[in-house]
Amino acid sequence: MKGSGPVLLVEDDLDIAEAILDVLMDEGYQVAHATNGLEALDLLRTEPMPAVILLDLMMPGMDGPHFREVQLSDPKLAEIPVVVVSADRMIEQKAHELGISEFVAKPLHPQQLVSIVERTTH
Amino acid sequence: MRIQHEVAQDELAEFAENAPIGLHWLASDGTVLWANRSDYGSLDYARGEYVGRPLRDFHVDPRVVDELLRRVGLGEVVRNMPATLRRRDGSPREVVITASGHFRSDGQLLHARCIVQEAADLRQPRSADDRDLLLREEQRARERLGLLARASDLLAQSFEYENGLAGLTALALPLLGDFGFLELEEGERILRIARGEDPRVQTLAWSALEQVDAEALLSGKPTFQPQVDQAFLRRVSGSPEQLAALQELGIVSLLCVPLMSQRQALGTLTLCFAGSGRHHTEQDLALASELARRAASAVMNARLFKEARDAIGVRDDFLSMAGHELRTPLTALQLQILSITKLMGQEGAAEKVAQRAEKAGRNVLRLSALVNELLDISRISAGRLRLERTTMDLGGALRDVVQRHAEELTRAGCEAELRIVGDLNGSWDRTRVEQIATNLLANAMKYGKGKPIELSAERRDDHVLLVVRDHGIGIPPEDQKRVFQRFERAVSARHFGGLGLGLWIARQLVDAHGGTIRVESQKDQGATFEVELPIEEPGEVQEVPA
Repeated sequence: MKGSGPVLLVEDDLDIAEAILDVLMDEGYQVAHATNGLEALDLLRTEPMPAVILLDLMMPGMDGPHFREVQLSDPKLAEIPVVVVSADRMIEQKAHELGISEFVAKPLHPQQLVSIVERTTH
Repeated sequence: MRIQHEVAQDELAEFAENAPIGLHWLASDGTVLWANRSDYGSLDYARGEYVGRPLRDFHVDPRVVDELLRRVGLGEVVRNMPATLRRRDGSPREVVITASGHFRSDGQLLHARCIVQEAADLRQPRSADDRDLLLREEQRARERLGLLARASDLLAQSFEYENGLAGLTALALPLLGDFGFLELEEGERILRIARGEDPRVQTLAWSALEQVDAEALLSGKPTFQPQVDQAFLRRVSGSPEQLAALQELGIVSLLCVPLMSQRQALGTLTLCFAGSGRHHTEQDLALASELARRAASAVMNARLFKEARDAIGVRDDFLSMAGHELRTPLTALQLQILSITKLMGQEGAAEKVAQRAEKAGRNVLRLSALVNELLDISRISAGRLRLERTTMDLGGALRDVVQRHAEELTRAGCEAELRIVGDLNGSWDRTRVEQIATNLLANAMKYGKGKPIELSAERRDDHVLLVVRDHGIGIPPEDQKRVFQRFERAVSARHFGGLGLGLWIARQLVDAHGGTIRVESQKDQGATFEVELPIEEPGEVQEVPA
């Protein structure tokens, strides 16, 4: 296993999730997947703490910003680095509003994804 | 008596001879029988040169004399008929002639009695009273014009017309009323603006004059009641309370004009005189109607502007949504293709490559479905959707649709149960019918919360009834109409992606087939979509209007 811990991917679109999982697992990362914020919180409470969370913004159930709010209010989770992965045209501004400095705009290049995960997990 | 009469005759003759206005008698053939000094003198002729000659000789247009005699001969009193006379030196003299006939007992015209006035005389005020009257009229005309100009200014200030209308209502007072109010229908809401000194009076007047406003709104015609009497009050009051309120208001004169735009009444402007005891005139009605016209056109402009702005907003939202939706499969596709490229050089990766190629293929299909959907909108909007009807089996088509979506159904965690009753052959466009079923199924998967989906089709008289039922989040009744509109969805786009077009396209396709579509649902109770498709093509080939 690469890095200091697993990656948690929060993404509602199954096609994108599968593709990201494939890319990261090819690189030797262990990846957990949740389809919305609520599922992600469940995983965070039951599974080992991830080294990074890849967070989509627009999702049914609990969306990205809402998840971030809950995450920051929980001292156990607040320190986990988050990378915004979104097709939103305002991604930079929205990430900034959530207090997140790392973001990847969709459509994303696998190498870009891999290097940002490497950077944040080390 | 007799002496008195003779004296009067003499005096009359002298009075006529010396009157400062032209008088003459005219024989039925147009010969001047008698004329006073003022008449021939004003043309610089002597009596002998004038009396006994045809009057036509002294007119620039002799036909005027014939016309005058014709009308007088018919018994008419001709008033202020314009004519041009010719002076001795040939210069014209503009006059107006007033004439009446003197007839024999058998009705034959004996002669015409004519009064000739300088045309300019009519425009000259002749007394101090007349002058005051004219000045007052001029003052009023200026006030009216000023009022219209200020009203136009107010209305032109912004597309937020509410302030403009309030200003206009205030402006109409006190010239057109002691108090007044304007009502404007805005969809479900009615905008009410009242102006006047006493707020209690305004409130009272509103409810009491309800019927007057409603009448003007319905008929598109003004109510003009310059003399308000008990009969009128009784007619327009809907209840004893209203009648009492109207009597308390002491309205003596009332006018109510509709705000007309393109033959449609948008609202009403009502103006009342009470305490001042004044009464409305025809001119007041004309002015109020003009104010109402301007108000209506300002409202219409503002509404059209807002509609256009909203339409642009909807389109912008749609473009941003469409961009997001297209990027999603594109993102997956790009990742898959690049990871395939990377795997190509590695040994033993053949199976992985094959898997990813299959996934990539799925995303290509997803992209192409989105692109087709986008093309469909422009096709439908431009009225270029044409059906290619063949005799087809709806049951078979539905089975195909469900089969094709087996994998997606699994991924959405939904089981689909399909029930086909009997033979369902009919004349439809197979591709489009499949599209209707696909869009309804996709909608059920998207909002179905992973619960079972039931599809059924059966024959009912001359049509087939297709039902798609899910058990998901449902659609609240207030949103049910909206879901079939373009770019609409009942839930927030933040939570559910998609172009928001599936149900709109389905409805357009059902319409094109001459069928109907409806939804029954409650919030959190799932949704049931029912489509009725006529088995035979109704009349001509259907085209969907833009």
